[in-house]
Amino acid sequence: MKCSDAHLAIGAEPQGTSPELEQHLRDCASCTQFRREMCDLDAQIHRAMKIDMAALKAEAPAGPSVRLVSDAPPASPRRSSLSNATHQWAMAASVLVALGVIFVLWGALPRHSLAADVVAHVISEPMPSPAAPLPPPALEGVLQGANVKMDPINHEVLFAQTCFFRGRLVPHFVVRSGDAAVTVLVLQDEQLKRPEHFAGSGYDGVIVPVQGHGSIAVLSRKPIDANRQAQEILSALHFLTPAA
Amino acid sequence: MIQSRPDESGERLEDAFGQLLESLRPDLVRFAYWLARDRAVAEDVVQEAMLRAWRARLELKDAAAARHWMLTIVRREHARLYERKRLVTVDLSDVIAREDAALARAGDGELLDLRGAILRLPDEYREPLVMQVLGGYSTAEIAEEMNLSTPAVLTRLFRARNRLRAIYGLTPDVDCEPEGQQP
Repeated sequence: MKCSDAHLAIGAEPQGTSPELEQHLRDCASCTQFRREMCDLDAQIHRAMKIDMAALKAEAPAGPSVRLVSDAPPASPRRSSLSNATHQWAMAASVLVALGVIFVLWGALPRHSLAADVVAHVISEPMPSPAAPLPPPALEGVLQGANVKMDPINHEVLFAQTCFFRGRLVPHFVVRSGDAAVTVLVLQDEQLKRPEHFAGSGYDGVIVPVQGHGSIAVLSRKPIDANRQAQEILSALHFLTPAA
Repeated sequence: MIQSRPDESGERLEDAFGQLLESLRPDLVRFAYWLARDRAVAEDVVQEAMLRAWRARLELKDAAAARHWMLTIVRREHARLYERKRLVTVDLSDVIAREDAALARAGDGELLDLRGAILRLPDEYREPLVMQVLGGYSTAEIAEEMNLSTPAVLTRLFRARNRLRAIYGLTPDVDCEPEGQQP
């Protein structure tokens, strides 16, 4: 074996070995040194590639940010009658209370809420544009795979696909409602106690519990009455499996 | 491994398959990231790969082979991405700069230069290196996957590491690609 052959073999597979290579290394200090260097480099390459994707994702600025919004109407503005000094003390106390609440709740907050995962999934799902209406069997096929049927609705179906979401296959479809494209995810394995409204990354929507059948998520990039849309979809859906 | 039966045991197996996929997800996203050099694309590729895997779950006969099976699906899905999409051309230095900032926060800050250098490797060198280092592929398996000869894969792996030597102040070796074995 020539030195060039040994370098090629070592560079390609630093941990690799063969009788010819070992024989060559016994007689060649230069190639032995080269192998040592490449083994060290390889260990560093392994370390470099083993990045913590969770940390990378958590710090990623491009990820969707979703905030939960309340059903309660916004409080009407009030003129404060407090003096400036009192007002400042009140502000400071409020900040301290808020920090305390955040501190207490921090550990209890899920790293990825269902709403955040729904929005992230919808953002990542490519939809043909401009979207042409699909024939009814397209949606029927997708729903059938999840043991769900849907009565005809007064909306065109623009997209229908079975998607992998939180380790499950779920129906994902989009209907046209007025000038809005409304996305629906049928989440039979995601239980909720009450409707959860959310807004973030350009989407507004709601996740509505379905008695015994998980929940459905309804969201859109345009302003819609998500509750009404969700109820309309829910009234058309029929779950063919017994309620959990 | 998975029986497609509508009874309870079939559902349990499907649950187990879903959990198996989820347990592999971090490895798959990491693998896809080094192939795609973009976190969002990596997530998309893995999502699509998992869907394909689910549809093809009957083909997986041995759970111990699941990781390698999934990595291959991810690698092919990544390759398909460039076949079916006209991707926007971006300045690589911008991509590196953007990823550098994120990578710097991903721990092991002293490896930042090396990570940047790996991201800068041309696709034909980076891909076999990622397959070997992260995927655990043998040279023969890489050759089969990339439709190359084994000597061509050895050359690419050698060249990939040779370019990374400079990061540690080591002199890059003379290129010893055997004649007649152009990659």
